[in-house]
Amino acid sequence: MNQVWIQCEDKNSLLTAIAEPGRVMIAGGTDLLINVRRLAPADKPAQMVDLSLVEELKNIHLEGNMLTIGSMVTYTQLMTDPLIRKHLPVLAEAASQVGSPQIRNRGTLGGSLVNASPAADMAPLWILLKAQVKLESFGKERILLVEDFLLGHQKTMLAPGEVMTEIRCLIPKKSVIYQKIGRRNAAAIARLNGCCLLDRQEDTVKEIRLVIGAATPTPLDLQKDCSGWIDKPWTIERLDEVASQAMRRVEEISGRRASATWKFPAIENLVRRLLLDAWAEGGKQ
Amino acid sequence: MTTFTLHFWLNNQPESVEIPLTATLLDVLRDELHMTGTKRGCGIGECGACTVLLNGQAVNSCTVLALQAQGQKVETVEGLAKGEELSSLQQSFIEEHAVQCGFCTSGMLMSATGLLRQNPHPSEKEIRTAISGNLCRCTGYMPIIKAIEKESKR
Ligand SMILES: Cc1cc2nc3c(=O)[nH]c(=O)nc-3n(C[C@H](O)[C@H](O)[C@H](O)COP(=O)(O)OP(=O)(O)OC[C@H]3O[C@@H](n4cnc5c(N)ncnc54)[C@H](O)[C@@H]3O)c2cc1C
Ligand code: FES
Ligand code: FES
Repeated sequence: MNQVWIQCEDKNSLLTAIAEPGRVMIAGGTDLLINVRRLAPADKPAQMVDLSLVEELKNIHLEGNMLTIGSMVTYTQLMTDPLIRKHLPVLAEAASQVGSPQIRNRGTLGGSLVNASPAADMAPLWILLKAQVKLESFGKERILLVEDFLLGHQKTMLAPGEVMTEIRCLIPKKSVIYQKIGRRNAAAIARLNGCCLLDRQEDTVKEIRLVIGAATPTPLDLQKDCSGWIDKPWTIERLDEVASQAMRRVEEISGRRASATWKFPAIENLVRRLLLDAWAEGGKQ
Repeated sequence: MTTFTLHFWLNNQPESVEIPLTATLLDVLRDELHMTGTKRGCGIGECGACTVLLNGQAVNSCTVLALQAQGQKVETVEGLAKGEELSSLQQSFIEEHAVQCGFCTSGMLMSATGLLRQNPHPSEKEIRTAISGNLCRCTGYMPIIKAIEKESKR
């Protein structure tokens, strides 16, 4: 195949470039190049399209309550953006725990979603926030919930000729708690992470969302498992119940794997910690 | 084999080189331009030995596609000294014994250069964060942190 290198500076030329079959898009390259390195020369991409100069994909803006984040926004940009820090600081906090400064300077949010690693740090947050992604192709666009976009380990709904252009979500009323358990701070992809949002009136739970990441091929949404709590008082028994339910759900999906000896108690503890912190947070006005 | 022409700014000098499509910036610096100050450690973004500045930001050159540097500014450790005269950051590294085997040093210097340019008076925590993507097997990090602190007070 003829080798091709195309650097697009605007979305229209990008959509034209990727309409041709066989074109491989590169964003920050932090996932792609590590995969390419392992390939035999004949299997390496022959036609590449660079997204890194498309400024339209690097914007962050807020309209009413709707936050729109370009797919080419890097972790560093997310961490330092004033809108994010003011309205949804948990995104900045989670981004600051990704990889190392070098990875955060390059790695993009779109790249992470399309790469669809089960251990991706931001994915549980997107699910909790009920975020949507915009997928565009020449003359067409569609919007999917992240939950529906992610299909499994490195599997997504992205179709040939499509590029992810935006991620968007509503700013929730209560703050979101995020926690990550990694090997060491820098360059550690999460071994386990999770996030929780809890709204309450006095001692009665009004809304609760809980998502655990890196334990299952796609983030595990435990909102339904927590639904018994709505309009009920907070009790320690219920906390125990949700924590053990989380372990059962992981076991159902992933089975008891080699990592299970430490992972199961860790999941239980993570769920407890998230719920306790979110409970404290949920009482704040 | 098809090659592509990469034009970019390397340590403030224009540079042009013919390279394969999938070459990384690290491949081009070391193997094509013979600028071997930038080290190849893991090759997969984990160790930071290959750190360079791309438009002023620290990146692992092993995970940057060289062609993405087209028209951009790249700075490597070779750009720090003026001829025979070391930069004061390099001098601080020597004074604080921040170099043992030296394999991590160019990457550390580039991460520190990127930090000090954006934040000339970082806290110890900010220094630790800035070099958190750079592994050192020898020094235990303290001399490196001290050297960067010293430079920030000069
Ligand atoms: C050392 C190291 C540490 C890491 N640590 C973490 C960590 O702690 N947490 C974490 O979550 N991740 C981590 N990562 C993973 C990685 O950095 C992220 O997944 C990153 O966000 C990927 O984005 P990118 O721009 O580099 O993607 P690329 O590598 O450029 O692309 C990845 C894939 O997505 C496709 N793609 C990219 N953008 C688009 C788009 N807009 N539309 C359609 N397709 C697209 C590409 O074609 C490719 O298939 C780490 C990686 C490394 C190497
Ligand atoms: S060689 Fe690039 S990070 Fe290790
Ligand atoms: S001095 Fe040897 S690795 Fe840092």
